[in-house]
Amino acid sequence: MIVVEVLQAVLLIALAPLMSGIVSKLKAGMQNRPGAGVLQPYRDLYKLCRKGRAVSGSCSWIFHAVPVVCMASMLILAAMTPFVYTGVLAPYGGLVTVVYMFTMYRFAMVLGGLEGGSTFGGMGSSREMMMSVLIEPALLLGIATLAVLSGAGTDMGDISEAIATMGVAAVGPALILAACSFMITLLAENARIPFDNPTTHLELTMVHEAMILEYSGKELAMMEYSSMLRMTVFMAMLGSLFLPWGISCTGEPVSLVVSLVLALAKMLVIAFAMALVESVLCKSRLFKVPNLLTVSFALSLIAMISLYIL
Amino acid sequence: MISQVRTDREGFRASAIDLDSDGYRLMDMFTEEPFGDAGAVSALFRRGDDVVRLWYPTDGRGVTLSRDIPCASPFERRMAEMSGITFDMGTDPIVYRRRGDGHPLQKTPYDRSTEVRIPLKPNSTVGDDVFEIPVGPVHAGIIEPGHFRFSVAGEPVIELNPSLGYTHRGIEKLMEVPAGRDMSRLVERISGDTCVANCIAYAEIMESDTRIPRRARIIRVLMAEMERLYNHIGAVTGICTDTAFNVPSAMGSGIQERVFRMNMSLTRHRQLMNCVVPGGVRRDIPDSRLRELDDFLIRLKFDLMDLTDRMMDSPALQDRLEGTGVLTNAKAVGIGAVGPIARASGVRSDVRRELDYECYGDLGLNLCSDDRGDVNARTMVRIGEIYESINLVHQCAEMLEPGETRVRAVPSDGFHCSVVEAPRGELVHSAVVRDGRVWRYSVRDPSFVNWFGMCHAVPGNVVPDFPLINKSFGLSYAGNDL
Repeated sequence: MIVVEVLQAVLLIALAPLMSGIVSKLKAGMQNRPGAGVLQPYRDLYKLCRKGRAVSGSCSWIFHAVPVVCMASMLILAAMTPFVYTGVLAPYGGLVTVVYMFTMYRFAMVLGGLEGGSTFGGMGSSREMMMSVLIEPALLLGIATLAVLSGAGTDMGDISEAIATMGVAAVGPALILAACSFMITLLAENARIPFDNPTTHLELTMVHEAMILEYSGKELAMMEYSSMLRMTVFMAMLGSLFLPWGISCTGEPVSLVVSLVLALAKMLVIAFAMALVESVLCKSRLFKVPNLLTVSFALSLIAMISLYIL
Repeated sequence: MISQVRTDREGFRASAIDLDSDGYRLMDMFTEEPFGDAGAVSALFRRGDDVVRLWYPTDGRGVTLSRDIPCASPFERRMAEMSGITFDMGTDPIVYRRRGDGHPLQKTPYDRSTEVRIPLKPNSTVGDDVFEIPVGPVHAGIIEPGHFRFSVAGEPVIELNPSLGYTHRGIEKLMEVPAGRDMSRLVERISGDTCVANCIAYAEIMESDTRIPRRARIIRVLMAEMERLYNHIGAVTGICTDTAFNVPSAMGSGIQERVFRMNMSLTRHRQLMNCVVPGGVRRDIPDSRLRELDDFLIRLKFDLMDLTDRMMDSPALQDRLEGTGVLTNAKAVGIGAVGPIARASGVRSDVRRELDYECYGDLGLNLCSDDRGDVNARTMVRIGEIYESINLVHQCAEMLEPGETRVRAVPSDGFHCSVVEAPRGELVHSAVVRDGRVWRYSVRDPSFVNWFGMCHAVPGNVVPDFPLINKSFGLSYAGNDL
């Protein structure tokens, strides 16, 4: 089954720019624009890879290590995430590792933002840290709810398999609330509206974009790619942990094909939901962002409590 | 109604304070050179349709007015920089022209030794936890250059100082040509999105002694309102874009594009350039185009209703706009703010209603105003004015009768002044003609005074709200810095 495990990790890694392109295309459609093709992110990455780089004079080696750390942490996460098959290539450490892989990525990016020595990087980093303090507990508690619900330990593959075999019995307040909390975390973690505007050119309002402002060329491509992969991994996790029905537990060819089709359909639904949220809402005030993240935390807390009292 | 009052250096301050306390508002100040027997400093005041030019001869030393009338301060600085006049109580050292190359408006040959390079003034707020954020003059978007220094404690802004002056083109100096020469091509380029309003102001000066055909006047008003339409639609769309309110933002861009195309069809220029000239208009509008315009306006109104309903029905957007960047009424009056900015802060003033220029006296116009002075109020005032403009274009199209559209116009010697309502507010052009030559031409763009409004509105807000407040003021850098 190692072949399937490798293939699903590769698929996730290869799909990342496509998912980003699909969300942009859906958003463009909702705005009555034709928009760029769904393959545009691949072209953008190719373009960036061929470009030279300009580096600020105040940078140390950390600046150049950051894209590598970011990309590596996301690649490892992609190998840890069940997507079409519950066995994963890197079944190490379970949920806590997953949450702290995201944190490592964010920590590296914050350092990269500070390294450039520009004002905007510093502002972006400080805002990102403010948000991350609130994202982290919500994310940890949300996934922990699943571990308790499934009673299958902390391994993502095991949780996915347990919930899939529980069938309709798993659907309850805990799962629904935890899924809602995870969706809010997904938007916050991936710098989407209402937390951040991924397409803005206004330096003073940026969070995520401000941190990667100083990067160029291949390093920028790595940063861009890792944020696309982060979004795809989040979407895959939402699909295979919170709505895992149809995921292949056995690795038989027929079940794998069904699982792949379902997994892609789930991704498309999540992409559509993201595009819809981004079209209906506008970016919220910076100091209202904690309120929404607190809601996310409260939802996952209630989900956890409901497991014990209901 | 323009009246001129000559005083001397000693009497100037007292006369100006008298006018100010009588409800007259300082519109513009400018110098005439060379200093000595022919030099003068003029101050233009306006109350309703009554314009007063108060002036005194000078030998290069001026009387400071800004201690008594604060809104005189930017004019005094500009005069000091542009003409080299010195004021008895000094001027604040904020600069408009950072690259010092003498005093551009002097009549004497350019002397390099007078060149000064004035360093940027540091912010006055200092402290352990106060950071200074420099932004610009090169920005990430395609916008004009301006340097801003924020003093922040965390996210809230304590102090904001803009430093402008990166777009100086020497327009006022270039305007000093024989009085009969048509300089409308240059005037249109003072600020590209205000070309009709600037051109009307210029043409009115050139036409001080000429009667202009009625058809030309109506066409001018029609164009001025089309210009206001696309500017205001652009400003409202900008609010949506800056808050990442994507769908209305895309709708607004589409509507603005359709206005541009209508402009193209009316005048063969998307932004209405090359149309207004001294003596009338360069191109007549054929009747077939007017029918097209009528259909267009009806459809435009429905599309705009859809857009504005979406904006007003969105709690997320209202949450961003309400209470952000408040310019209080007292401050708006104090700095002499003009246009939609002032009207959103409860100053009920619109040049189109107060001065009967072009054919505005024959048109029905509601004044849109608001008392809250925040980003929402400015947006609402603009939305109201969009509907008013559509109404005015309708009225103009109905009033059009066949006739001449252009006559010859040359101004006589003396002082001429014109005040028009540009999309951004009251625009003042004034000219001194001596011996058949424009001796001094002064332009006061509405942004010139409104920039100070923004400096008052930003402190107390968080840094990420600055671009939104900036957009709601919608100021011109080029028009501010001639």
